[in-house]
Order: sequence, then structure tokens, then C-alpha cells
Amino acid sequence: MVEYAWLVPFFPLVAYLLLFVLGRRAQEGIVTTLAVLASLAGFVVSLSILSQVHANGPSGPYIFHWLTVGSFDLSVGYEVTALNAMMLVVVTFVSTLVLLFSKGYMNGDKRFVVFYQYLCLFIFSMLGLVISPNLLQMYIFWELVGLCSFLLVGFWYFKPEAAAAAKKAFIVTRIGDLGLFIGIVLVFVATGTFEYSGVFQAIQSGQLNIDWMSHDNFVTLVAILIFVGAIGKSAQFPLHTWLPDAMEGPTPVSALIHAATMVAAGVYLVARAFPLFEASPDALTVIAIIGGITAIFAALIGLTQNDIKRVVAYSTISQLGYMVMALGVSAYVASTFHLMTHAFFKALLFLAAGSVIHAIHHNQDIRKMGGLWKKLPITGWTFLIGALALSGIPPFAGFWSKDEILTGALQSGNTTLFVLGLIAAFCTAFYIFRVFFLTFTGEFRGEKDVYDHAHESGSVMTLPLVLLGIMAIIAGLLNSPVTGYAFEHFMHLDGELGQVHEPSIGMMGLSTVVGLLGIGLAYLMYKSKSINAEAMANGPLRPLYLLSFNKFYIDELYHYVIVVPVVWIARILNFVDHWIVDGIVRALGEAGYVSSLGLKYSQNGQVQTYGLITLLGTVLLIGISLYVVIGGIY
Amino acid sequence: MGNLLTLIVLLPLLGALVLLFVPRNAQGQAKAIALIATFLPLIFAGSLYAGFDSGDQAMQFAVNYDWIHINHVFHDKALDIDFALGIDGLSLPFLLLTALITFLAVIVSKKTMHRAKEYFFWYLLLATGLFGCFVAVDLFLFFLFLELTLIPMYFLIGIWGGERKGPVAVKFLVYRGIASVGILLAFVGLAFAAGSVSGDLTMNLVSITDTFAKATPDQISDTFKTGIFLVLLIGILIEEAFFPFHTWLPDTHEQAPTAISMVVGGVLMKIGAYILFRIGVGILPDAVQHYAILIAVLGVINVIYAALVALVQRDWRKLLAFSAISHMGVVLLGVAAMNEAGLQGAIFMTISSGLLSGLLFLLIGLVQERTGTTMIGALGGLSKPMPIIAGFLLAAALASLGLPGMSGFISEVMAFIGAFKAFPVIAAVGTAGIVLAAVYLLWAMQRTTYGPTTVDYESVSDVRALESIPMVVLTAFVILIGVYPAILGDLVNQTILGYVTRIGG
Repeated sequence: MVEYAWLVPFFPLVAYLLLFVLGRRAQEGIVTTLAVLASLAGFVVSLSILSQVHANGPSGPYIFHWLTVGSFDLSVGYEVTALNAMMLVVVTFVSTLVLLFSKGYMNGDKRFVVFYQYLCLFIFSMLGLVISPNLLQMYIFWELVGLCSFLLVGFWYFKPEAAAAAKKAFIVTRIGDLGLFIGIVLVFVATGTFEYSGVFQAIQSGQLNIDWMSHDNFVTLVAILIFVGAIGKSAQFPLHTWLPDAMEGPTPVSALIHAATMVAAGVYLVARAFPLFEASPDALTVIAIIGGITAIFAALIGLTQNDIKRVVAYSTISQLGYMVMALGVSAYVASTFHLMTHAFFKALLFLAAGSVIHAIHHNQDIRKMGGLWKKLPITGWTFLIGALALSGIPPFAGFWSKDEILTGALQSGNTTLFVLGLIAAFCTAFYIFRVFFLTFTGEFRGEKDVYDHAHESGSVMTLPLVLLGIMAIIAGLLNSPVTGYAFEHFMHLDGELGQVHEPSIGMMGLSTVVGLLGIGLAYLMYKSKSINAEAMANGPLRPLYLLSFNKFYIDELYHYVIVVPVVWIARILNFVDHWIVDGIVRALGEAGYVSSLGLKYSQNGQVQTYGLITLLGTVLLIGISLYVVIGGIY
Repeated sequence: MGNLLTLIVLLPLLGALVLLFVPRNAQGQAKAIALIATFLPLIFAGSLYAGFDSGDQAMQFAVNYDWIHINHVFHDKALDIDFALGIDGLSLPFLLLTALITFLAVIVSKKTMHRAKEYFFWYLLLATGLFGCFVAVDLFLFFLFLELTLIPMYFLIGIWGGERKGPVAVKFLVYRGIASVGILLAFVGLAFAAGSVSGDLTMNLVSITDTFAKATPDQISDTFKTGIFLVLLIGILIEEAFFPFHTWLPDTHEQAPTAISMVVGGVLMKIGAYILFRIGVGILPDAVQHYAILIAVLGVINVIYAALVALVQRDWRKLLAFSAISHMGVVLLGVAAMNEAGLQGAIFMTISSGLLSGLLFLLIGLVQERTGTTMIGALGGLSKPMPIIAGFLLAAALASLGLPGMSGFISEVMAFIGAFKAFPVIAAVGTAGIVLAAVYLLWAMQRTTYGPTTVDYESVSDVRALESIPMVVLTAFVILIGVYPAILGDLVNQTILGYVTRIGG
């Protein structure tokens, strides 16, 4: 089965092409069935691949010739490793559920088929990214998932905010991609190959074809450049600004692309290329610091946002920060494990948020929600499960993976990172339960009419919630004493990458207490209202509140420091182009015109005359050239 | 099969002659003749592709008719100018591109336009000139074909252009006339230098190339080579619309009718790049290497300068012109690298840019026909009334900004691999163009098709069946090269290996 791994992305590709051919007249039911079946088939194949990797270890790469460039070849192909077998299962599982959920959520949209086309194209690209055996092919799919993200964020193209968000997502991630692009080109220049295995071998043996830099510095440079790509894609500080805006896309898109899969691609890339990063301790330090900053920074912003999806989006940024930080402190297994558990509970939180939004007429402002527990019991329960998993409360999924990351940070000796991680964990528990209490408890604060009509959606929407809810409860156990750290042993089939961190009881206790404190504070402020949230925001803490509420003014900073100057430079150059570069030409032309007034009678509009003059001119030119050149040589 | 080459070159000319006998008001017939006279060359070019041996570095399907023989041109030397045609791995892609675009642009040309017969007459002359440039194996013949493109273009812009057509047509003629001087000087210099070594005075491209490859520095000095190359380079920079000699291009694109814009962006401006490959890299590799840094820096200036200027353009056609200049900057970068990847990337980029220019100018022409404008700010929300055109515009913009799976990406990858090998810092600066291209193309594309639909455009029609042919065909080629680049790579591979061996590494 492993040699048939290409089938996994192939199914959604076929579904995409079929939907493309079917066009807009296709019935919603047929469209959904086709897409779900394709994804489900991929899931089944992925499961079988997973079990075979478990039994026989990694396999591949299977390589095919793609393009000859001079004397070297570029190839395409696929490979199966423990890491990507896990990713295949996660991606196809979440994809299937999101495709199902979208049937309810996008019901009646005029471009329903187009939505499913884009989703299938995305799933294909994401799976293609995961099974790529070389950096170039990975980059190709990396850009394609970016394209799908662009198309889906801007799906409601007639909304100016959606169009702007789509463009921002594409351009900001492309800035990161530029680093990645330079990085892989330099890798190729130095090693003569894009294949992961060949690159690692060349770096470990020190056979780099580079003479303008020391080898160690070169590896650090390349590692950081590749990581810049991950910064963009996984929305790490300082390129995180696109992800919250990307929430303009339909919520199923946010769940699949901007929570569970695509944004994790940056983490996946660093994990896949981990031997390269391990060769440069400096690069790992940079990664750990960026991840740590992102984890706490996004968590602080999440505290004060009022849009339900944006809170969850900032939590995604923060959690990705944890994963990146984990890789930076060499906690490879912890990072990939958190990648998996996060995919389940974050997709769950987004879909549950989507279910809420769908039920109350596309309102996303938590200040206008409340008391929805009675109306949406399944959504409420599953959101609660997701929130507990995110907050790291045992035995939910996030608890196990987050503890391993915190342990890794502590054992790496970087206490600052550990403390930052702990504070971020407190903030996380607080903001997600702030959302929970404001949404599901108390009185509804929107229009009464909306509340009266709110009801749980059909099973296409609740079934995915329930399945993801189950995963959010049990997935964490995969790497716990309960299963004998099965996940860790599985990942080690790829070789012993990084260090292993099994959390102590003390660590578990500490992180649980921190999580509970966060939940407790949220309860006091938004449920029992013993602490007045308004008063806090307007009190002495107001500057801090504004800083968080305005996202540390990063967007404004970029606008004035980057966008405005670039536009001005462009305007000045345009002026120069028109008035100086072209101006000189026109001035010469004018001069020529004035001096040729006497000749104007030769311009009688006769084509023959023009032709004759041109011919004479050409002959004259040839004559002069012959004279000059012959004179020069002989 | 050699006769096919002759036919490809002469069929449009024949069509033009036949047109002279068609009544002035028989516009449908005129277009039909133009269609046939460009469709047959396309078919023939396709069959040449099928019969082409990509493992052979020599000129294939060669024909050689003695044409002009001048005794005692200098001392006892005689000059032979032959009607010599042939193609190798370098010229075949350009030939196919020309055949494709010239045919598709006829489909786009309206038979209802005023003076349609004359239009097609000049158009077919232009086509012969374009075909000739890429298949001529005699430098003099090449130059004649190059000149043959000038006059028809002057009339095509001057008569059927926009409101500033007159001055822009003159500007076109003057600019490219000056370029011709440089190119002619260089050609004559090459011929006489080769003649002084071999004893035979000939304008034959292959023998000149061979002579230069074998000549020792005593026979042809490096100073002479670099001097000749500089003269040639000026001509190339103008032909190819490189900064600071680019200003004819935005004006031409703004004023020329859609079909002519397609031909200019798709084929005509690529002649400069072809000369750079054929003469610069092929005959004067030492000189190219001598000026490598200069060319690379010039390339990067073009990439970034044109991209920044594109950022603030208000007219789609000018934006696309600057976008093309920016992309062609990558070609300079790749050539300057003078290695396998750089050269292959440069050729890919030239072909890709030709296809994409053709496609984009076509799409903007379709938009203009429906909305009456190409001003980006006046458009909006066109996805709703014309989803198909909007979809293709999106695809073309994405391809142009280098999305993988389309032709631009693989071109950029190879060109930058070559450039990073040769000069990492300059190359790194050049990559900024990749981000800038995304900014201006996405902005313009979204401004046109996204957002609320402007009231005036709510009921404009989408693409018609006939118009969709060029759109679909060009997009198909862009995707084909993107997904399976070997279809182009295998053609040029041997030629590049030949060049690289001559460079000596």
C-alpha cells in the first residue's frame, strides 16, 4: 500500500477536476458526496499507510524524472515517513469532516460548487506538500496551498474586506516565501540536489559547494531563510498579521486551512527538514525565540478581541508559536504531537464557532451573544471540550502535548521561554473561556428575534463536531503513559530526531493549575461577574488594554514604515520615468521635429515615399557600417 | 521538410499579396485569408516540432539558396548573402511561439474594423518578418526580416492605434530604427572579423559562430569582441525595451490595438532576447562574461525599477508593459550567470513572458471591449457579469507572478539557481521582484474583478465562443510548460549544453 501513497492526493485532485467539469449547475448533494468520498478514500488509504509504516518503517522516496537542466536533473515523486504518514491521516480526517460540515454551512450559496472545487484543490495541494520527497516539489505545493488560501479567503469576492484580506494573506506569506525560495535555491547551489536525504547527507558530511562563506555560517543562513518561509506560512511574529484578517473567509475554511492544516505547514517543514536545523544551533535558537515571542504575543492580543473567530485565530497563532518554540528547543516529538492534537481541537473550535455563527445569522461579535447553551447543546458541549483541550486541562488532548513542550523548554535551560510559555498558557485558558462564557452562558445580548430562531443545525454539521470532540478528548492519550508513549515510538521510526521530553508529575500539576487559574479568572469576570471587566479595561490598566485590543499596532506600523514609503518610492520613480527617462527622449524628438520642419513636404502620406526613404536609409546605414567596420579591421 | 521552413516564412507574405486582389469591402474574405496564411504556418511549425531531433545541436530542416554574390567586396574577397533558413533548439521554441501568437491574434482582430483589408495586409507582412527573424541562418537575411517588422508595425500602430497613435508610431520607429543601427553594425563587424580569420567572407550564422569558437585571441582580439558586443547590447536593450531604453514599450502597448499588443508583447519584443542568446551567448560568450556583472546589475535594476513603476500605474496596459520589462530583467540575470540553469531559465522566461503577455493583453482587450476602459480604477466586480474572463484573468495574473504549476515559476527557479551560483548578492536583490509582482498584479486583478460590481457593468457579456479559443489555448500552454517543463526543456537542452561547453564550464 505504501507505494500507492500517491493515491491519497490523487483522489481529491480527481474530485477537483470532476467538479470543474460539472460546473455550477451541479446539485449540492452530488457535489458534497463526490468531495467527501474522495477525501474519505484518501483517509482510508492513509490509515493503511500508517499501519504499514508502523510495521515496516518509512519507505521511498519514489522518484520520477521531471526536467533536465543542462547536465542535471530535477525530479518529482513521493515518500512515506512516520511524520508524513501521521500528517496524511490528520489532513484527510479533518478534511473529510470539514467537507461534510460545509454542506450545511454553505448551503444555498450561489458558488457552492466553486467552494468545493477550491477545497478539493486545497486538500490535494496540502497532501502533495506532505508527501513531497524534495524541497522544490514541497515549495510548489507550498505555493499552491497559499493560492487556495487566497481563493478561499476571498471567496466572497464582492466583499471588499474579503478581497483585502485575501490579498494581504497572499502577499504577507509571499514575503516569507521569498526567504524560503532563496533558501532552497541556495541549498541546491551548495549541494546540487533538492532531495531531503541528499541535502542532509551533504550537510552532515560538510560537502558544500560554497566558497563565499564558511560552511557553518552557510548552514545557519540557509536554515534561517527556510524558517522565514515557516514564519510566513505559520503566521509567526512578525509576519502573523495576515491570519486574523483571513477570518473573512467562510468558517469551514478557517477550520481546515487556517487552523488544522496549512498554517501547520511551516511547522511541518521545519520538522521535515529538522536534520538541517539541527546542524545549526544558532538557527535553532532563533526559532525558539521567535516561537516563544509568538506564543505569548498572540495570547496577549487574544485577551481582548471581540470577534469569536479572531480570538480563535489569535489562539492558533499562539499555539503555532508553541510548536515552533518546541522545535527550537529540539523537542521534535512534542512539537509534532502538538501539531496533531491542535489540528483536532482547533478545527473543532472553529467548526463550533461556525455552528454558532450559522445559527445566529452570521454575527461574530461575542458581545452580542450569550445564553446559547440551551439553544445549541451539541455545539456548546463540543466547544467546551475544545476549550478544555486548548486550555491544557487533563485528560484532554492539549494537556499532554503542551506539557511536553513546556518540559522541553524548561529542560533546554532556557527558563525565560518556559516562563513565557506558562504565562501564555494562563492567557490561553482565560481568553477561550471568556469566549465560552460570553457565548454560551448568561443572557442573549443580540436581537431577541435572532435568539428565538437560533437552533442546532442538521447532522452534517453536528456529526463533524462530535467526531472532532472525541478526538479532542482522546488524541492526547496517544503520547501518554496510558499508551506507553506510542506516538513517540512511532515518530522515532524516522530516526531519533531531537530530544524526548516526558513531563513529570510536577509539571503536569503546575500547568493544570495555571490553566484552571485562567479559567477561574474568566469565570469571575464573565460568568459570576465578581470582577468588573469594563472597569478593568478603563482603569489604570487602560494603556495595556489598548495595546492588546489594537494588536500592538503592528498593522499600523507596517503601513507607515513599509507600505507608505514603498508607494512613495514608486511614485517618484514613475515621475522620473515619465519626465526624465522619457522626457529626454521627447525633448530630442521635439528638437528633431523643429529642425525637420523644412522637410515636412516630404511627408506627403504616400506609403511609397516612406518605403523609398526607409530603403534608402537602410542602404546608407549598411554602407556606413561597412565603411566603419572594414576601416577598423583592415 | 526544409521546404516547410520556407513556406512558414513566405506564406504570410503570399497571403499579403493575395490580399491585394481582394476588393476593399470584402472584409470577411480578408480575414479569412489572414487566418489561412497564419494557420498553415502554425500547422507546419507543429510538424517541424514533431520531426525535430532534440539530441542534435546542428541546424535542422536547413535550406540554403544562393542569393546575392558580390565580388571584390574588399580586396579579393567576395561576399555571399544566402537565403538560408534552419532551426535548432533555440529557434524552435521562438518559431512555435510566433506561429501560435500570430495566428491567435488574427482571431482576435475584428473584421469589422475600418480599413480591415489594409490592416491584414500589414499584419501578414509583419508575420513574415517575425518568422524570418527566428529562422534566418544568414545575418543579412535576419537583418532584412528585422527591418521588415518595422514598417508594418509603424502603420499598424499609426492607423489602427489609440488617440496618441501618431507620435507613438513615430517613437516606435525611431527607437527600433536606432536599435537596428547597433545590430547592423555588430553583424557587419562579426562577418568581417570571421572573414578575416577564415578567408571566406560570409554572413552565414553557423560558419561565423564556428569561426569565432575556433579563433585564437591573436586572430580576433578580446577588445574587438567586447567592443562589438557593447554595440550589439545597445541594440538589444532597445529592442527588448530594457531600462533606460524602455519607454517605447508602455506607449506602444497603450496605443496599439489588442491583437498588435499581443504580437508586440508576445513575439516582437522577444527578438531582442533571441539576439542576445543567438549572437551574444552563441558567438561572443567571452564578451558576455566580461560584462557579466554589468548585465546582471542591469537585470536587477530592470526587475525592481519596472516592478516599482508598475505599482503605481493606472492603466492596465501600461502596468502589463512594465510587468513584462520587470520579468525580462530576470532574463538578463540568467544570461549574465552564463551557466546551464541561468541560460535555460532565461530562455524559459522569454517564452513564458511571451505567452503571458499575449494572454494578458488579450484579456485586457476583452475587458476594454466590454467596459470601454482599461483604467484600473474605473473597473470593479467584473467576476459577477463575466466570471469566465475574470477567471482567466486571475489565472494569467497568478502565472505572471510566478505561481508554481504555470510557466513563470519554473523559469524563475532556473534563472535564479543560475544567478545565485554566479553572484548570490545581486541575485538576492533581484528576488524582491517576486514579491512586488504579487503586489501589483493582485491589486490590479482584484480591483478589476473583485468587490461590488459597478452599475454600468452589471449586464456586460462574458466571453464569446470564438474569442475563447486564444484565451484557452494560451492558458493551456502556460499550464503545460508549468506542469511538464520538459516539453520545452528537452528542446533547448542540447543547444544550452553546446553553449556551456564553449564557455568552458
